[in-house]
Amino acid sequence: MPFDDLLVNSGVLVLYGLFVLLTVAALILARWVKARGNLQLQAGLLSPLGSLYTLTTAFLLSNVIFQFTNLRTAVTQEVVTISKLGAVMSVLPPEQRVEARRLLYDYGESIARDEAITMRQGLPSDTTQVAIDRLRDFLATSDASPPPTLPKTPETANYFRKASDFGFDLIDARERRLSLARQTFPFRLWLAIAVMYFALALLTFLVQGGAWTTTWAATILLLAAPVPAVMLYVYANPIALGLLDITTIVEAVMERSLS
Amino acid sequence: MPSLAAEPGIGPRSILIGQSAAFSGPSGALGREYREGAHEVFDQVNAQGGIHGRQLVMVYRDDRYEPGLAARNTARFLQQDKVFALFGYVGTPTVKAALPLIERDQVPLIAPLTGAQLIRKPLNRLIFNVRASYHQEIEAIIRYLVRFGRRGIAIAYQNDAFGRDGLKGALESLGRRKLRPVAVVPVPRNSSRTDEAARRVALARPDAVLLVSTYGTVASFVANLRRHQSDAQVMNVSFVGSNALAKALPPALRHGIGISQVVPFPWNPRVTVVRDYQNTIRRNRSSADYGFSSLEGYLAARMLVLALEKAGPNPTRAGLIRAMESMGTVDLGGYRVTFAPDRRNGSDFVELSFLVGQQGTFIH
Repeated sequence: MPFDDLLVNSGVLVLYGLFVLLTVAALILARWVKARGNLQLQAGLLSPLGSLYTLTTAFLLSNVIFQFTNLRTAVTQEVVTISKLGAVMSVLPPEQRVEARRLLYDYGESIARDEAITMRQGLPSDTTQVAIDRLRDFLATSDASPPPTLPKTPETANYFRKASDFGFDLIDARERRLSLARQTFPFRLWLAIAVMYFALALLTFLVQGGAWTTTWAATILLLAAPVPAVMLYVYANPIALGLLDITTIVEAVMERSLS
Repeated sequence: MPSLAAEPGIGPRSILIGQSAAFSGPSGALGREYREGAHEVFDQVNAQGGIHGRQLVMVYRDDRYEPGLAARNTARFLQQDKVFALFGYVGTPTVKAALPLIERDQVPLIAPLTGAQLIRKPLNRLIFNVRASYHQEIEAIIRYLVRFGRRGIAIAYQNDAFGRDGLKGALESLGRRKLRPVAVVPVPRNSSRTDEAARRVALARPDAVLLVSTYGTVASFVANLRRHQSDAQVMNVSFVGSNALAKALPPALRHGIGISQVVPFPWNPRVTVVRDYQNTIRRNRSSADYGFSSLEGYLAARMLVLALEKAGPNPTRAGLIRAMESMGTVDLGGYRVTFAPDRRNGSDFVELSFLVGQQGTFIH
């Protein structure tokens, strides 16, 4: 989807472009209004409108940041589960252990290399799906069981109890990660923000007296007012915009825990 | 003070040991890593006063994994340097080339870095192999592959004594399971011209490829194999040079490459001998760089030192052989080595490892 790709890759620039257009549109409209007659608007009106804009964007922002925190927690839980599963597998005899760990690492690697990319669009990766299916298939076979001759120790007992749980926890963690990977931020909300910004910009220009003051008002407005919207956009696409580097997180855990 | 013996290589304060190995060239990392591991032990022993008052003096000669050079180096060791024993020769074709001279002078060769049958069967009383054989490694690989559903196995072997030994072991191992390889192709030694071999293997659409070659050739083969759209599981024997292979492969091609190992996992300090090895390296070097070949060198050197100590204050070549033969089972700390008059294969330890991720990390 080229439009989606454009948004993901250049979304911040697109947003700023839109705000520039809105500012220019507000400026032209304000000039047109001023040219048609003497309009006396109080500067004090800016304060409630600005507060309304700030409150609305802050409320939305708190929501996406909350979801972003959930995503980060989900990713952490997932890598911890991978690490735990790798650890409990150490009780298996060498041949079974190396196959189990290889499959587990295949899964981790597919997240780091494939799903980290498809998640930018909020999509799962087929490669990762195959990897987790293979891991689950393995856990469902007798190859995943230690031989009956293995002495009973806390670690072997723990393996029987935990390996299956961790297998299901992996699926759960993956689903949570995928569902939080890209937040749906409805067009109507973007439109509401744009309308509020336009109203703020128009009022700002209407209450200004001279051209020089108007220029500065426009500059300050452009510098400050789009920031909450940009933050909204960045936090709503944390993987695509590098706020959360899944590849690094997963690979670091793998390297620490499985070697 | 030990008395001056007439034995070659034994001085009043020194014992001369010769090692011919690949220290440069396309397989140079094998010899360098092995030497580094062994060197840690020799340094430690010499710092503590040597063996019965004698310092261990190593004479190194580079054969670049070329049989002709290995034979020439051995001749120099025996005629010019007059070494007491040979140690840590790297490679099958090189050992094969040196063998007539070793037998002519009845000089013991301790811990060659090769798992070839050539120096195991029939038993050669001058050669003491610390590591498991290639046949044992290949058996472990084939058992693993077949157990986990990869029955279509292709074999790419180096076109020399080493490769042919591996090929023979693989055919025997497959034969025991009533299987035949889906393709058998030779690859040249010390070369990266592997495109045609990789193409032929890829055409056979194998589930797995067993490679019997060294890291430079294997790295090139894997790149060509993937270029020919084969995602077959690649497996290697330990002689490939694990760390060197990880470095030689492009990061994107590292993940999933399997290697059989004949020493414990060098990053696992829960194995006593590995902890000792790590501590020794950390004590002597600012950067701890562990590896399979280096650990193999370390273990081999520990065995050599034990044998020399057992050979007494006036060692002879025959005495060294007797000392080795009478060792029985030695536990180096989680790594057992057994020698006897009728046993020259010290260890049967084989374990599989895999390269994972793009950083070249190993799992086992």
